[in-house]
Amino acid sequence: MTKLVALILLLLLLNACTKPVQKPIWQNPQSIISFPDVQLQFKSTTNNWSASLVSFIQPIQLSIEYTSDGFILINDNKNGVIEGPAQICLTSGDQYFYYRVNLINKEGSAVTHKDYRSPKTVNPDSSLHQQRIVHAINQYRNLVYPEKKLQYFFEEDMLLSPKAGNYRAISSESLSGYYVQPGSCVNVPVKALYNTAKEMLEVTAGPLKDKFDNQVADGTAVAFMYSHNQATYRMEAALLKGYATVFIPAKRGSTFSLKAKVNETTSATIQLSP
Amino acid sequence: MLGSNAFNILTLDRFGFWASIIAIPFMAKFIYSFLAGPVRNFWTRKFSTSAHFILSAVSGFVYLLFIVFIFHLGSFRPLQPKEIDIQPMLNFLNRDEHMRWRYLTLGFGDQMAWLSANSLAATVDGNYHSARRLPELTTRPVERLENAKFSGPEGLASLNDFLTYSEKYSLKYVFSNDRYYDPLLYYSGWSRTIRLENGIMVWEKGNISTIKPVVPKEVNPLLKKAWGIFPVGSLCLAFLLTIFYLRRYKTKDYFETVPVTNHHYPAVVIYSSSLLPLVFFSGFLLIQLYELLLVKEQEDHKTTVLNYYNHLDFQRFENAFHFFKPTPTYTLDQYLLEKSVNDGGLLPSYAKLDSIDVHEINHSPDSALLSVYTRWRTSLGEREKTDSMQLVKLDKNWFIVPPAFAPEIPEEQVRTYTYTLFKKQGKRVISSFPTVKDDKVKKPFVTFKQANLIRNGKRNFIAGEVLNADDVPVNIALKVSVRYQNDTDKNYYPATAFQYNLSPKSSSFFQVDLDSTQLMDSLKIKSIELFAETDVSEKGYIHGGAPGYSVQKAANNEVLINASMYNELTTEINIPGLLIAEKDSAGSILQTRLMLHPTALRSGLHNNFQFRFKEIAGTALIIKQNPLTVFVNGQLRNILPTQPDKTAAANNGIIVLPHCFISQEIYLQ
Repeated sequence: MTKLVALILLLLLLNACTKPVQKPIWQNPQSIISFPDVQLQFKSTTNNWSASLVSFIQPIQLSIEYTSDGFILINDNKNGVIEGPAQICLTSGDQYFYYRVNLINKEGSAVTHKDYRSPKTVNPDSSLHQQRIVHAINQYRNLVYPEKKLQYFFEEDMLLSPKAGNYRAISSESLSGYYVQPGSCVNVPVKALYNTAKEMLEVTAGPLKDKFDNQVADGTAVAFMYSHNQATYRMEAALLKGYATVFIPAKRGSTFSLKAKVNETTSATIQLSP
Repeated sequence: MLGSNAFNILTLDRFGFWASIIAIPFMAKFIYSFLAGPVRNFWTRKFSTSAHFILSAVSGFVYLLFIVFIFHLGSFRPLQPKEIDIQPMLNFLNRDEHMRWRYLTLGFGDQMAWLSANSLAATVDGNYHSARRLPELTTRPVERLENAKFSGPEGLASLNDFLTYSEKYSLKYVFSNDRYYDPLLYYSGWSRTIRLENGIMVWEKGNISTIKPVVPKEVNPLLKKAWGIFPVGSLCLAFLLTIFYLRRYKTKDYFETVPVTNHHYPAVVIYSSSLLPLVFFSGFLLIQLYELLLVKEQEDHKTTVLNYYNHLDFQRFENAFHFFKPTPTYTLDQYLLEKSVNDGGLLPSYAKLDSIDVHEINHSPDSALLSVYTRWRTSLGEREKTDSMQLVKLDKNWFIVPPAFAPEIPEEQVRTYTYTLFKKQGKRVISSFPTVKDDKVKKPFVTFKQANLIRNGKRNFIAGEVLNADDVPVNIALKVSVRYQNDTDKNYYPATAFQYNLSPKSSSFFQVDLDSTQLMDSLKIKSIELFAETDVSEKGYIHGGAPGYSVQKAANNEVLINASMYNELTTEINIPGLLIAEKDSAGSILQTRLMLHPTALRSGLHNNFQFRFKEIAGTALIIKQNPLTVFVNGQLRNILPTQPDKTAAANNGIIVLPHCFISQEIYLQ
């Protein structure tokens, strides 16, 4: 009985062993494979292969056509790939064979330029310096050289023009916009007119400009502070296209002492006698 | 005497619920005795079976009427707001990652629980008191924050804490169904964002951090098992013991039709207990009927005034109008017109009458002049008002003489005003990915013009001024962090004395109250840091109104501020207000306070009012030995040098900024 069990175990063990497969011979070896036209010939005596191209990012399944003395690997995917080192992986049962290659795309594709700006918004009150980082990628997410520079990435510090406005780092992309704001006003001119029919003083501050002659930003609060009959009054208006106007009810014969203030910049005090 | 704290916390309804359960056996005993026991025997023996029958029938009928009345109580006096469709709120919480912050409902009644049950978003409030975890909610007798106005000053204090310290709770959104809370929300730095399809206004606070992940508390494994076993186990045990008790001792009683009882009650107990239901229920209904139909609301001059204010408080304007002396020239139309142009503001629109006291100034048989003192509860605290009223007696009824109406008439027939509105584009790249670098909006610049640590007796606070140095409107979140010698930190936030939203190049005074002198001195301050977080804002930066003021010295370090407000806008200013700062001779801000006027101001009109303001220049100290460092958006900044203020110096150190609430939603202020 013991012998019978040992015999059965031996038979099972022998049956469990598989016949080793010879490593296929690559008949048209190439260190660089250009996508998508891939045709790789291998010589082999067996015909139960599966194949894939394993790059660092993903495996790409290859189809197999068997010939009389081996097989040909064909790429059915007509798109490009992310370029770089890869391995052809041939599998037969539980045996794997690897061949090192480099992947490139045969044809170029549309290139997208990236131009990051920091800070995206600058204010001449503080600084006009801006940092720029540029790179470009093609359709298949490969880094390519940006125009006129033999570097995949380059950065530079820039001094922007003080002219306020919305600019684009890449002319076709609104998302790449960067902004030069107007700074604080350097002078607050004030003038007043008396509207007899309405019995109102029409007081206007403006044009308000910064030190680079930019019009001060719309919406800037202008405080008109005036004294009348020993009381102090404050009226605010938002700047629009460089001007802010308030209408102060004023009877004829009354006197006002008025000044306009934007942040810490104050106009000259004017005396008004409607 | 016992359990008053628990009563306050658990509130009346839960006490009522458990009390009614406890009362069931006693009531059952009483009813049984009355219908078939010794009480019935007493009545039939003493009077007759018919007398007992009539008493039972009348008591039962009155009780039935009482039940019908209670069931319909909601129709007479609504206890809950109208039904709210929760779907728009669910949609709001689901979009743009709004669920990453907590929300709060106001004026929802029991429907707040339904919203909470249908959303995964977290709320700071809770329907069941004992299940809430925030100590601020479990230590105060506040049933729910959403109905804080019904919880008196403590309820509003709790709500105020949450709205002010919202950063601590990651509370960013408030769904408001009650405009009563609008002034508190606005002056605590909340901005209206959107009115949903169901009419609910969504308020939002800027610069609030998202909910921080909480590390689960480690519980002893034995305790975990105990919580799983003991509650269910004790329920099962009670069930089994009850069955055992019934089977062992009560089987015999169960099959007896009438349990034998030989209890004896004194006659006084029998009379009182038998007649009590009839007297109580019928008395209650009679009082209700009397109040509804037979009360003479104008029988004397004081009753007339009290009832007039009662109608006004519940906005029953037609009923209120009938208290005025009938004349051909003063019609209901005229009354409503005058009311629409005279009324509005903090007291008429955002307050509930708390108490009223009427004093006679003159009184004759046919006329009376009364002084009416009223105290109003608003979300910003209690306000008092004194009016005088002339009354006359006509046909045994007292009537109010309509007050003289002399409104200011605006100069122009059509007003114009130029608003500069801003629109934040939001996400330009339509992607649910949260960080599209190119689409991020920069944090606006703000600068501290000054920040002073002030000690005035027992009080300590940081007072100062912050400037929006940018070209866009900004929302600013201020936080003072005090580090003590024992390395503990405590954070403080500004309450209502600050303009949280500023238009470009405008500035605001602020005051952040700290702890008492005794506490701060005992802990010993190590350092004080003032943080400002900013964000581009498109709301809340129009503070409206053109104030004017002059200042008079008064006694006891007080000054009298004679203020005026001119509404130059095209919309009504609902709550005219001033943010007042006191400066010393060097221009340093010593304190900041918000002063509000109780009535609204229509477009193109003026308003004059007076405030008494207690100055502290003689008593307050600017403490300089504790280093005060300021950070703007996490970066260390310098405080600008303080400059003397000529305007303040000319007005006894007082300087003002307009800080008004405008309820017009078109500007979403």
